[in-house]
Amino acid sequence: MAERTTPVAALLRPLTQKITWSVLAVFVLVAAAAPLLAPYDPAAQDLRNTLMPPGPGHLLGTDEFGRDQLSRLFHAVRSSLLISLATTAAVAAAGIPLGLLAGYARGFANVVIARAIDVGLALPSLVLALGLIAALGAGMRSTVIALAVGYTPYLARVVRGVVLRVRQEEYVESARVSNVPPWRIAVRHVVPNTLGVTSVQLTLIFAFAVIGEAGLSFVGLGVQPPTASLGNLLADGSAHSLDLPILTVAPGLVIAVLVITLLFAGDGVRDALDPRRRR
Amino acid sequence: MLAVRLNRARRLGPRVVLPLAGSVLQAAVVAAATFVVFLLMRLIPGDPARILAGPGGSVTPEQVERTRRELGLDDPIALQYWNWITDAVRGDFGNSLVLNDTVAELLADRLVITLQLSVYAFTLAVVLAIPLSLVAARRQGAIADKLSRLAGATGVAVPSFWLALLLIIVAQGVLPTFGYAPLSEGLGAHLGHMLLPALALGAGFATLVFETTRAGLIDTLSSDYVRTARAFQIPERRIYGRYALRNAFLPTLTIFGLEAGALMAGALLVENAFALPGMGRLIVQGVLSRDYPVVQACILVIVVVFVAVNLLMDLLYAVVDPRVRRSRG
Repeated sequence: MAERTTPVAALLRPLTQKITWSVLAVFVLVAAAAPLLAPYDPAAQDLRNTLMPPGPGHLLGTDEFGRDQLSRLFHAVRSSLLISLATTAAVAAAGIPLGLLAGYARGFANVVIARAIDVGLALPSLVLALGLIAALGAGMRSTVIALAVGYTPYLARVVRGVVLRVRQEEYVESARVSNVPPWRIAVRHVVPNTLGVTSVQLTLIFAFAVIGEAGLSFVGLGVQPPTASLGNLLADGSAHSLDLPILTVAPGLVIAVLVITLLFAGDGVRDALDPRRRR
Repeated sequence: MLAVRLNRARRLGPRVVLPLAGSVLQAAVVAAATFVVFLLMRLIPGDPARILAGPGGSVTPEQVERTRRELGLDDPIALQYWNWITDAVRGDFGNSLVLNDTVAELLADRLVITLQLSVYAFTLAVVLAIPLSLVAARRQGAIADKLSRLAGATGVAVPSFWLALLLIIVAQGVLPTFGYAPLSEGLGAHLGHMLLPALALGAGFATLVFETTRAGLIDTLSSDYVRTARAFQIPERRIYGRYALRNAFLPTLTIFGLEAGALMAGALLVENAFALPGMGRLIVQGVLSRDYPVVQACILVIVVVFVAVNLLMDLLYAVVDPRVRRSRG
């Protein structure tokens, strides 16, 4: 008999995954404890010390209002992770039921939902987000809604695909002919089968939400100043990218590391859940 | 001569017709997508009739009513949509609520710049990524796979608008980092201004093309028919040219189609970093000032380009896929 391993153990076995999850843990820690870790109030202006280069008082320098860049960065990680988490949760809450319905329902409902997903996919998610923000007004809540609506069709399509596949499986067929009620088949057989793909997709969506927030805030349509977010820091820093590059380099680097880590986390979850890839 | 041409047309027949049948469905999807865009704009708070009738308290309710009737804003929503979309097809997108111009006039020059940027970025990405993926596909194994994955992940993780800022920092004084030069100012000046933006926009796309093509090539090169061809000592060059590349590029074509929308959306952000006067600034201003005719026209144009690229990819797919070719004989 094959050796039994818990999914978590399988996930953390490769070295890259140990690093990946450690880095993610650091990000979560920074986000959770930003008010404690930040040496200054992120909104406190010090107009005598604007655009200071990195030094002992301000490890990453100060921006054009003399605000401490390191403190703003900690708080930016906090708000960006919060937005991405909320977006991912909203996508899961909308996309999983939609995908299940689209895969499970027959006849008219199936056609309607499947086509609705197609329509969603025909609109590039960032473009759809722009349209929604025009309607809702810029802000943190709108950013979450706009990004979530943009990414939901992708999750729904993937979930629907799994459902369509699982429905054909023999054990589901036999459950059906044994008069097991449909909701029970859904809960016992179909939903557990979608969990693997769904969790991989959700890690990816989390990563895309980080970039999506940064993009929207970079052009001024996402999180509104003075709240710090990774995109806002980039937007603020871009005005001074030639005289004080650290203001642009630091937040971008944080975005890149965060997203790469999330992508590798997604790979890890995929490998851990796929027995053929588990070694 | 005519016979050859007829024969070619016949060969083209099923390849073109099949995807076109699918594209009817796609057209329905686009129509629905444009309706969603239209409805979305109706959610914008504020009364366009009041905005257009005139500033502040100087307008009477009667004037607002008249403007509303003139604009057709009291028509049923389906009729309004029909009028908007049929006008749009004729190139009439109405007037901007904020800027003193027609939307078509505002869009014309800006769309050209956004399309140029997207096409240059695409070309740059393909020219860089495809040869690299051919080389990289020969190196297989755990480390090469990991490196390729790292390259792909980096491409996704480094946002184009941040790369744009980095390029501006690095290339200041060497290359133009600000503004636009139309083709009329000479090809050199034009491409010089577009090089960095195209690089910023294309780099992420390039890593995606690289990862996809390498995976496609490895998949194909380890297939039975390639092994058989090698066993028959068919030269490597011929195996690539005749068998492997066609199959290997199919996933790449799919990526081209899927990513076309993201590429154009990315162009809107990159334009912002380089102060290129494309659609990016227009759409952002439109969203901020709730100028719904501008926003819905921009979105419509992007959706149409996105769908057109996908249709083109469907056609190319049929041309490249050897199975469709074989079925004719």
